[in-house]
Amino acid sequence: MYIKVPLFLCFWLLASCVTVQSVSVNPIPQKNKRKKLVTSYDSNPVVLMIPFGTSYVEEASAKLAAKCPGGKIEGVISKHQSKNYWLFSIWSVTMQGYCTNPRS
Amino acid sequence: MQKSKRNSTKWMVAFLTATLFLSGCTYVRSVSQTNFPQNRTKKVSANAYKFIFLGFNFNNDHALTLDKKLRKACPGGDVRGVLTKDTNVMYFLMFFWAHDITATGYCVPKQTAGLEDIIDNRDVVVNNVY
Repeated sequence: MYIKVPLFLCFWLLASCVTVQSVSVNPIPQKNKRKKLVTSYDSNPVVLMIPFGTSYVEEASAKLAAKCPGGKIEGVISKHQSKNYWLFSIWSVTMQGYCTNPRS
Repeated sequence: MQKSKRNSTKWMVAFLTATLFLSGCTYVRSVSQTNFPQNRTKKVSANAYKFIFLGFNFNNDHALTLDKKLRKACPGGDVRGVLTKDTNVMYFLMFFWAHDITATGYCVPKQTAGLEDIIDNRDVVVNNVY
């Protein structure tokens, strides 16, 4: 009994539901250009529906650009989602694309 | 002494009321990112904002001004790698809010953009031959 209650609380507090808010897909390059996949992620907490900034969106974009110096990034997919926990949630952006003609 | 105390309380109440009414929570509604160009030296951005009272909103035409603003920020060039962020700014008790859209991209000079396209098309032709 003493173990079950905290265990139940842990499951209750740490379980989350993920909701996708938006997704965008761009033209995908041909197969021989799809060699180097680059990804980026950034997030921000929202506690009791109070958000702490929205700069994570720009951060995710800048991180993706930094992973392909001097090259083009094609076939970019961006996904904005929220992971909802009890009393707080994590809002995040994930981006991925193919780095073509990178500067080596 | 008592008068100055009353005055400071008045100021405090006014300050708190102003803070409550004027501060807002910004929620991101959607994000979209287009393909990044090779030339990422010049960043340009544009913003479209509309204040909405009690939910009365009869059009969303402010969103269409983004295109014009971005073009103006990059005269004679292409804007590529556009990141669009659609946000809602909720003010006190959500009686009024603002719809704020920000678009940021890279201004690529026409010549460079054209060269990138030629290189891409050449790759397609070469690969089709083989």
